[in-house]
Amino acid sequence: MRDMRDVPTLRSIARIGRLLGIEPATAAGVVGLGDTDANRVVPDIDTLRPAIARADIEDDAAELDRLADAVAVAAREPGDLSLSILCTARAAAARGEAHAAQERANCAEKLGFSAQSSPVASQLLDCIKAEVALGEAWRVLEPRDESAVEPERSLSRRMHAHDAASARQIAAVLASRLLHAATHGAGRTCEFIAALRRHVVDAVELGCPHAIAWSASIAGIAALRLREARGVSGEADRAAMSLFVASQFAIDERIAIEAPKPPMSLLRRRLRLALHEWCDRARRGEVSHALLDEFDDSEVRTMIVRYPRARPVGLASGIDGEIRHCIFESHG
Amino acid sequence: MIDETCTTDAAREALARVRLEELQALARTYRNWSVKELAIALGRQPGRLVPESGMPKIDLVVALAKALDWPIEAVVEHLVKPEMMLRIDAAAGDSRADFASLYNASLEKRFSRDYFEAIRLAVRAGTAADTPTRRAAASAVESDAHEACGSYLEALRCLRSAGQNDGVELAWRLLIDAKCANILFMQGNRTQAIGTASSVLEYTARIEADHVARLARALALWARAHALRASIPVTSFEPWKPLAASAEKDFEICAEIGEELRCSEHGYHDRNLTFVTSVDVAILELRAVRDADFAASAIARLLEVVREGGDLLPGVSERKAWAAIALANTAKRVVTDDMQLWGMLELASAALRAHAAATSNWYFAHQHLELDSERRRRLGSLAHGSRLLDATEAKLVAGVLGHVPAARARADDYFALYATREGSRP
Repeated sequence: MRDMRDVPTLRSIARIGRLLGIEPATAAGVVGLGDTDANRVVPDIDTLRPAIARADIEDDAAELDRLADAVAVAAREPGDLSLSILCTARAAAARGEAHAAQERANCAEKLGFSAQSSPVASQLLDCIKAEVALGEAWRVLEPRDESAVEPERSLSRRMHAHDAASARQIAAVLASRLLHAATHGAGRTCEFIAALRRHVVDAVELGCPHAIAWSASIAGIAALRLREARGVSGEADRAAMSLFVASQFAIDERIAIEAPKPPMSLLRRRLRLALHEWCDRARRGEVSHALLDEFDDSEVRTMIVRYPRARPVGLASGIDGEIRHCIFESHG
Repeated sequence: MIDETCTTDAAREALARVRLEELQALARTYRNWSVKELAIALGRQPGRLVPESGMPKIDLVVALAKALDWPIEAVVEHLVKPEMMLRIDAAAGDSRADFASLYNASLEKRFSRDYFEAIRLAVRAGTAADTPTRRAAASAVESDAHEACGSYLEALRCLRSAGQNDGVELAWRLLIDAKCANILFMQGNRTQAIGTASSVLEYTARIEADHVARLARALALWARAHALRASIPVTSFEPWKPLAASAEKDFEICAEIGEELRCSEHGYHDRNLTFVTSVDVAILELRAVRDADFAASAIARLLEVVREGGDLLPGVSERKAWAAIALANTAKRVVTDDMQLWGMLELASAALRAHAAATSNWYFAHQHLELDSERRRRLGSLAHGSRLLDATEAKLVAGVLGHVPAARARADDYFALYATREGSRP
């Protein structure tokens, strides 16, 4: 593959494929093996766990899917199979598919996995719960289950984040409390918004880009979700909008600091926040094709790759045929 | 004529160029890369990212797939597939009133093993369909025909496109997901199969089930049970006993639903439902995992099934193939005598090969190659080298590597064991 002259063209591979009775795409998949997964030695399950934790924090859906396959191959006990399914659940969450993530996490639990016995599984499950609580960007958030809100006592014990995973967990708990508080009047709502905002500031001060990516994106999405909820007062609505803008700013600022090579978690979580914003604006009828600029265009193109289940108007399904300007449908 | 060909080639090249540029733009946005960074990642000069012909070399495709986090197949498919207008030509003249007859005709053609015609009719049914559910049903029946002729990737593509339609009735959506789970299992993607099947089972447990939903449930149970069964290792399998029990239960319920469907008036009485005819042999393997005392009688029964005749009857050959897998796994787990073990594995391998070659079933072909390569490696250690492919093996190797992504990790092994890389002649 290194010497360009020795590399076959796609056309010649397609011809060989046809002779073998397989499609061009499949034939290319086989020929291209040298540089892909096939070259990887099946690792031990213990060496896969840190990689899973890393892919989780980086919100890397493709890597999580690859690791799920690797764990399934290396599985030594049924708990490993559950971990593999949990990886696919987490990958679904990274693609914004909260429903699928929840179903797969349930399946992993039914197969007998124990979060206590595996810190990495517990970390994945925490993230999936947070994503489920925030819902799929392209659907209106469903009514909240009060039992899902973490009691304040357990929250106060873990208020100081020391790494990205704990910062994410705290943000998720605060977001869940905020969304639940939407039914409890403006005063408490503003109080919870302020708590979430403080947490974003804490994450910025912590200086860990992953912590900022997660805390700010969760806070921003929660703010948008809150604005969606009925009965939010003008004051709470303004506070929510301000939290959203501050969250977006926190991520953008960190991306600027980390330039030219910001961690992918920052880019991915910024895109997730943008997806929620696009969907929110589409639901409010605030998006117009005519006003899309070059930046919007590139953002929407990237969303199509990262969130195949998001339904863009004017595009049948994800990347199919022409890639063109599109906005996201509201699925109420 | 020559002019027409040149025009078509030029149009194809122009289209490929545009698509390659699109994907490169997408990769840049996705990775937040400059043109220079993209060029470095693709191993090209910044000014030579798109070849004149539009058809890139494979290293560029692989690098682009990596940059996009896509499978290589998805990149190639996007580059080479014709424009939408060129694909819709079969539908001319069909109206929505023709849907039922086209759908049924496609089914009949599949049962009579005329798969090409079954696919053509299903495509026409899809275009004649006037509701999302009918469109999804046509895609499902097209997928079945692709699967039956061994084109798993196309089958999966049909199901995924059917699943993306809005407004499809829940029962049909679940059936499509269950079919997806089954193909994912056959492609060796066990984890995804278990996840998808479990999701179908969660939904079907909550709804009032019509015959389509019950069929979806049976198929999901079948797929999940097999994925669980296949996950149980052949050594140190003690901790997996609860999982074996769970898979066994899935198989039993799936057979019950299958029997109910057969006795219903929904047209299943004359269908060969694999999950009714083959479930008993799969259960034997799981019982042997759970109960060591049962293993000997399980092996005896499985040997009987693998040796019995009647290959031409519908379902019999497939049942033998499932029995062969159960036999091979059970023998590896419990048989300690080497000669006895290899005798059983050879028998199982031959049964799998016969069924795979006759039906283009790449799942069984993969299992055959695994058993056979294990045997050949062992023979290799007794001073026998690899030999050239025969026609059947060439078909099986190409089919397995083409349609079972999980097998591709072993591509080098297969080539080393079955043939010289230069081709089929010395």
